Amino acid sequence: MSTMYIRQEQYDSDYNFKSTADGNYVFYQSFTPRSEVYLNSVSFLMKRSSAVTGNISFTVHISDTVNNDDQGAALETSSTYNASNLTTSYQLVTFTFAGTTLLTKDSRYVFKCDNAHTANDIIVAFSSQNDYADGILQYTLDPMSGYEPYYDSVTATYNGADFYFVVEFTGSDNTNAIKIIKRNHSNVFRKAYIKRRDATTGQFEASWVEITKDVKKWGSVNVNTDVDRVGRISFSGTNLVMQNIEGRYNPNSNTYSLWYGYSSQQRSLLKIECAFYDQYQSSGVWVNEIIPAEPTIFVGIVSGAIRVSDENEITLPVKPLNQVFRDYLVTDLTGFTAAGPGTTGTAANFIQMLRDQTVGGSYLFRPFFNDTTSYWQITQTSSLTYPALTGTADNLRDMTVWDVIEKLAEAENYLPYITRTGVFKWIPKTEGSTISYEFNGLGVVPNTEYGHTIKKIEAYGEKISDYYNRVSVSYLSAGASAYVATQSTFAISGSNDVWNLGRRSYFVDNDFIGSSSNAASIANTLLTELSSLTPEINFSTSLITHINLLDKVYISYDASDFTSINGYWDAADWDDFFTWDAGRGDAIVLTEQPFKIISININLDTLETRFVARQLDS
Amino acid sequence: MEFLSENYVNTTTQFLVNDGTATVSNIFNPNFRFQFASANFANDLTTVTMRINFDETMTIDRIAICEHNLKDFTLFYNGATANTFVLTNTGDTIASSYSSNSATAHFFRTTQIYATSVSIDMKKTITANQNKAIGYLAISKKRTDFNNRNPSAQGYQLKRNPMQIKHVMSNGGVRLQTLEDKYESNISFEYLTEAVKNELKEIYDNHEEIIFCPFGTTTGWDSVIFPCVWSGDFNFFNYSDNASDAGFSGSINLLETP
Repeated sequence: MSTMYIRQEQYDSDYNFKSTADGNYVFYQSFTPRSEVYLNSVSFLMKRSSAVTGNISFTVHISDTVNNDDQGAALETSSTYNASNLTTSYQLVTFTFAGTTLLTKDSRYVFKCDNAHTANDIIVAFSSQNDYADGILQYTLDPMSGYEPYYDSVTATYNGADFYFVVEFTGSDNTNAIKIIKRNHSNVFRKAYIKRRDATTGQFEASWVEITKDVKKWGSVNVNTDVDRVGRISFSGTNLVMQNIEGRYNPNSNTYSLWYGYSSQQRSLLKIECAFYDQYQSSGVWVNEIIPAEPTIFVGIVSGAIRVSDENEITLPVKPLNQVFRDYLVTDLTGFTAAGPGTTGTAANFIQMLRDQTVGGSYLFRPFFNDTTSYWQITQTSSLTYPALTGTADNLRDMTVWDVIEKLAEAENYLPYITRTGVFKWIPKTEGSTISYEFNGLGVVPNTEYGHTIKKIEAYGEKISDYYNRVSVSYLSAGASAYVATQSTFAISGSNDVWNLGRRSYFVDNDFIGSSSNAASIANTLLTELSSLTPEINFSTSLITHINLLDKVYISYDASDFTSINGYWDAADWDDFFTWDAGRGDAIVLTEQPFKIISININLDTLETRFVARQLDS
Repeated sequence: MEFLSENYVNTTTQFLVNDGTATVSNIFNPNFRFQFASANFANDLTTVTMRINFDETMTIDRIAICEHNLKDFTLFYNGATANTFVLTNTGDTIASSYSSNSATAHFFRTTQIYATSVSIDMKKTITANQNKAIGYLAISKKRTDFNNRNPSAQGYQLKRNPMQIKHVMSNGGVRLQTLEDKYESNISFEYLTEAVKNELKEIYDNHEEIIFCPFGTTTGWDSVIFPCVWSGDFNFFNYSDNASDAGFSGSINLLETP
């Protein structure tokens, strides 16, 4: 838990007060946290003028940034304090909160006290934006004392520091991650676990079995989207090199094997955790706080040849969870109707059908996704339907479930994303609405919040191979192939992309689409997505595990020789400063440039993360 | 300086404890900062009782407890509180029972006993009313003490090797990320007796994990103790001088286990 001592120069805060209809006065104290935090308590200096009774409590609200009063309902109400315990001298009164209300970085909030009291009663020391040099202001809630705040001679300290009021908080998981990533010497751990299947029921065991001590080499895990086609997401697992001196990784028929008495090693679940841990003592006991709190970075299945040798080591091939969809033919699914998949024939319906698919009363895919529906986050798709997507259609022969998922993702401009914790997400490919992380590198004024995290920028520039100015969609109309196309206008002009870059056509072959209007809709969506020539950046960082695909991030990097115009000469014009302009050349200069993360690779042996991100409009 | 047999405490199923069950596995993790800790016994009027059972009767004459916060505690065997260990090393008590301890680590040499269980009653903490915590517990027996000899200063090297990743950042600065620190020790002796040589040869030939405790004491102990393997060759066949009864010389490389 951390303590925020509210000072004007560090945390925007302001008091406010106003009369209410009941004739009492409301006390407001606003503040702005500079990082994402959970609220634990707030303490004010309080006293009374004369005997008072009743309870006092505070509520916390989003604050109006002009008047510093409450906007909307209370986010939470504090514990209560019996006002009769106040004396005529100031004392620190603490109001506690549950520690579950998340306050976002740089948003203004306000504590509000609206307890009805009557004559000459409660006085609260408080701050304003004008009084910092003059000490603590106070204002009485009693209307008889007048409306205007006045200065008080109170000088309060708390843990050795002057304060106006004290907010105690716990950093959110995101805040803690930001802090520990920038730490220049930190502790990191890696762990690996398996879950085996019962030899009789074929169901996974309840608990994970740790195998960390046998891992000799970890490899890397990778996830990226739009690899070679729109909507195509690729995951790669890893190859764990294990010591096998005791024969623990022998086939399940071997009595020394970890799988002895269980079903085959193949399709066993495998989980990898990799995170930071912060060590500190609390009440005489060492605490090892894991950051991020959820350390899982990969869940997959064992899939591939496992061969033993006389070198007492084996390679455990691990594939991502989408392999379970590759291992099943779509024609073996049940639940298709005349409208297509499920009841309405939409793409989301198909994903729901997968989630609920059973064979002999047992779920088919769900056990691989924590055996719960909460690990399937399905965003409803548009009204597009896929009537030709039926279990018996000729065009489905030999197609795996994953093949179909990819085709639907391409058509919908969606992402079939399996998160690092093994949650299946069917989501639009839009980036996050807020900045989730800021990367800083060479030439950037030291960033005290995020630190310096970029090791190297490997490539930056427009990716022409991802640019298309024509999209044609082939579909099935009454059993016959048909197609629609849409394209950007061609003109011989210096500003015409088709003239400048040539005609580049993207072809979608999707027999599930049953109407020209649907095909046209898909073509238009894709053309909008693809016809913008956008820069991409490839860069590496020290270990960062909590970023997800589609997260919106800032990147700041300045590889130019001069980062300031305060040089020695002015190359462009003989201005009165006679200074050089910044020497930019072909260097990469990015200043809080927003990007969307489209590829993440975490190397567990070198503890390095490599990202690919697509530039967004500033 | 002693080599001990592999820690008898090595699996959570051995434990019976009335609180802190989730952290029991930390007690045989040689990283002391991962502690067994009670969760609901931050009160000196409450006792955490931990019992460690063995599959068979074990010979015990060495016990190490490190990074603990216990002021009042008792170690006993076979489930009877009267069965405290008789300590043979010079220390502040002659039995494995303390009522006002202030040290956070102890290495006990005890009279050899045979037991199917060892128990620890943790009653009070050094700073009053904290949860009871132990960073590392080893229950073992002596394999050799080199006939009560220590190597010369030149013959003893101990270091912590970090498993560490060095990131060179884009501005040339360096960021370190440490996965773990592990001990490594090199020991060399001269003029060892044939009996000690044979003890070492048996340890080497068994290809077994051992525990190395260079200078264990009951007071002011630096807590240096770690499970390890003997890496490399066995060279104590070398005579220390031009006489067959002069004794034997050799060196040992010890590497901490995972």
